[in-house]
Amino acid sequence: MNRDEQSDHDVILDLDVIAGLRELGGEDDPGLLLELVGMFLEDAPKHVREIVAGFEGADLERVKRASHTLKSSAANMGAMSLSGLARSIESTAKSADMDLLRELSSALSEVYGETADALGALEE
Amino acid sequence: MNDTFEQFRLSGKLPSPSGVGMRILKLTQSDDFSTEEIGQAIMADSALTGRLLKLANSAQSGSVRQITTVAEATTRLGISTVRNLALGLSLISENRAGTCDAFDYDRYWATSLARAVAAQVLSTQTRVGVPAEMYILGLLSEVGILALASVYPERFSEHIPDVKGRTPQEIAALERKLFEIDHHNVAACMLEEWGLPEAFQGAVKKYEYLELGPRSELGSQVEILRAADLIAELLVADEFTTPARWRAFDRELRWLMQASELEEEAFFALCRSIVGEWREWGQVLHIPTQKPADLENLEDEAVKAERRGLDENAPRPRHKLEEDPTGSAKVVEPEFEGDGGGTHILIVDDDPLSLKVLERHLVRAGYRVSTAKDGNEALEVVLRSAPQMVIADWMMPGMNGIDLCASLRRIESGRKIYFLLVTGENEDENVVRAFDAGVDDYLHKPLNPKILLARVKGGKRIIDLQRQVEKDQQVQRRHVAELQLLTRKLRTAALTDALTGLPNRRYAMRRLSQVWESTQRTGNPLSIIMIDIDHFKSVNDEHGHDAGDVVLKETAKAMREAMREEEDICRIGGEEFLIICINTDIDGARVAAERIRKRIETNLIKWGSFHRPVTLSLGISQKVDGMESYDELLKESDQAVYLAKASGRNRVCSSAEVPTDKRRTG
Repeated sequence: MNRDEQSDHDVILDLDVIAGLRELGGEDDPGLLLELVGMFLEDAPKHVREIVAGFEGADLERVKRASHTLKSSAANMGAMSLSGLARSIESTAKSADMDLLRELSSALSEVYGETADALGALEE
Repeated sequence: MNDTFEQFRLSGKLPSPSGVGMRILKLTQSDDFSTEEIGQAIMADSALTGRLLKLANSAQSGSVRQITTVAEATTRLGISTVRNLALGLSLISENRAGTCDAFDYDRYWATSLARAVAAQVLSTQTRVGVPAEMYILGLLSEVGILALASVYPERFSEHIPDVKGRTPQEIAALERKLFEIDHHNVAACMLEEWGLPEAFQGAVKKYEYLELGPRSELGSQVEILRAADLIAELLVADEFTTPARWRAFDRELRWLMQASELEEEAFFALCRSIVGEWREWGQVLHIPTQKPADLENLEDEAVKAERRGLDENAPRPRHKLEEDPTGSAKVVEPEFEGDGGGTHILIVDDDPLSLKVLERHLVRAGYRVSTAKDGNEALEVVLRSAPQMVIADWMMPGMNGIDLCASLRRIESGRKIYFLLVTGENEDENVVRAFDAGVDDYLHKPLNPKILLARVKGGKRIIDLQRQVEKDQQVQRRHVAELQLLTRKLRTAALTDALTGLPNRRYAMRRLSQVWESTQRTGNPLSIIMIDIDHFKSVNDEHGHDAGDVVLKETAKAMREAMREEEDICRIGGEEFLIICINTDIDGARVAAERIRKRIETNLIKWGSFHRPVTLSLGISQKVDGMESYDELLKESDQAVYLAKASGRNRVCSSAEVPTDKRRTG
């Protein structure tokens, strides 16, 4: 797929969002950001697997549902590329364009990997 | 229907079932409802459906197969039972809290629930009544108390400390003085209005007065209900229960065991099953229950209570019973600073991460936040803790945001909730559908915190306005209720003789006219007794008017004590009294008159220089064919009194004894 089409979403990790989350925890709950990262790293791979499994089983409902959830989860964490990709997958699943869907799904684990690395770096 | 109750009803503050309960009630009151319609009405409320099925399954003993649909429950239990169950259950969800400060709603429902379960189990055990119906009877038998607390929140709060340690009779008398009606009669009227079986009304009026004893039995609905009430009281007993009460519990429970004709072991197993069911139901309905005392060793509880040295006058703190932790829904309770001002928001999202982030934003802005991970859990939270706003994701597995909103709008407590739907960005075309379902506002994902908080603040403004309006309405309703009470008191005063407290002449004539009319229709016998105190004038002349007043008061009191329920006594003149005996012929009236005459001639009255009983002359007459109005009846009894006086006083004469030529006519 052409990454230029997704210029809004080519940021793996939006650091403004991360700063916002850090601020949200504030002094009361300095561990909040890391807690959220932990939750994300636990849940997101499940959604990724769901999407792939849904695509392989031609179960578009499953794809739609998982990509929808991944989209907002990722957006919450400032994972813009991943969120954007999930959004494309969701709308493609709705239009049932299987070729495009294959292309998008195959990009998924790579984008997720980069996102997880970037988030993982925060933990240190 | 009772006049006082009629006014209660008009106050609009009587406890009533939720929208669904009401609809079912209306449906079944019409003649041509179908089973499907009832089923649909119930299923519109998914929480109600679940509870109903649970009850249907627990109430049908001995059957192997689980009931899984409302239609099945209807076939198995009968439409009227299902209807009553739906009614009772929806009543709970609408009346978990209220405006009466001193009234402990949790404790009320915990007790009612225990009574319901105990009545159901005892009914199954003894085969008296229908178990599911007995559940409803147990659940609603004290609804009169809830009603009094709802209609007169303030007055009832003041009344609560006064009933401590009093007998049921004394409490009922206090209530009649304060509210013009007691809770038994309120309950009976409500059950009648809701179309519950007629036998229920009699049972709720009687059961509290039924004394338990070594010869108690479990052969009727009233007896089952009384026994269930004992068990219920016992289950909610706590460290504020006196040693004496614990010992009484111990005694009464033994009597109940004898009545059940069970061996000790089997009896306590039955009790344990009641406790188990009670606690399970408490969880389902979110009514706090507690681990009760050890029922087999109640003496120990008495000893413990003695050791604690209970202060009998200390008020019982509210919310003593602890709720069992349920489900994964939780309430976060921070300090409330900032915009939110503690407004209670329920957020619903199947993605834990989104939920967490949203929760943090709202908590920080000073909102009180509950969370739920899907629509069904959200419904539970709404029923349990009545949030003021719901923010729900559109797309969720199971019940989605729109369905959740539509479900909420169908139940009473869900109608006022401000509903914010979170939609994806490409779902604009669905927004119309969302508003149709009753959504108040919507937000796009991904959520921008600033916009989110601005929208929520807008919602809060509406909630606050609405709350203000409700508060104003409440104040107005309370004023109306107080006014009605005043009106009733004035009316009572207008019909009461101030000196003796007996109904006065105006009341007597009105009542006689009513009774006359109804006997015209039914043909039942009607008699009256006219009474005159002998030589009353000389009491006044020789001992003064104060002595005369005392004689009137004491005589009225003694006569009232000698009355039966079907007899109505009024003071209709200076020393003249009238008793209306409904469904009584002349022989019955003579017996009643003699009873009163004898009572009074031995009733020593002492006041100042006055020191003796007085005597009465009594004239009786019966309504006979050919009498045109009650005036004739009055005239005849007057003549009979005259005859009694003429024949030496302190006696009963009947109008039939009056010689024809002496009868004054016209």
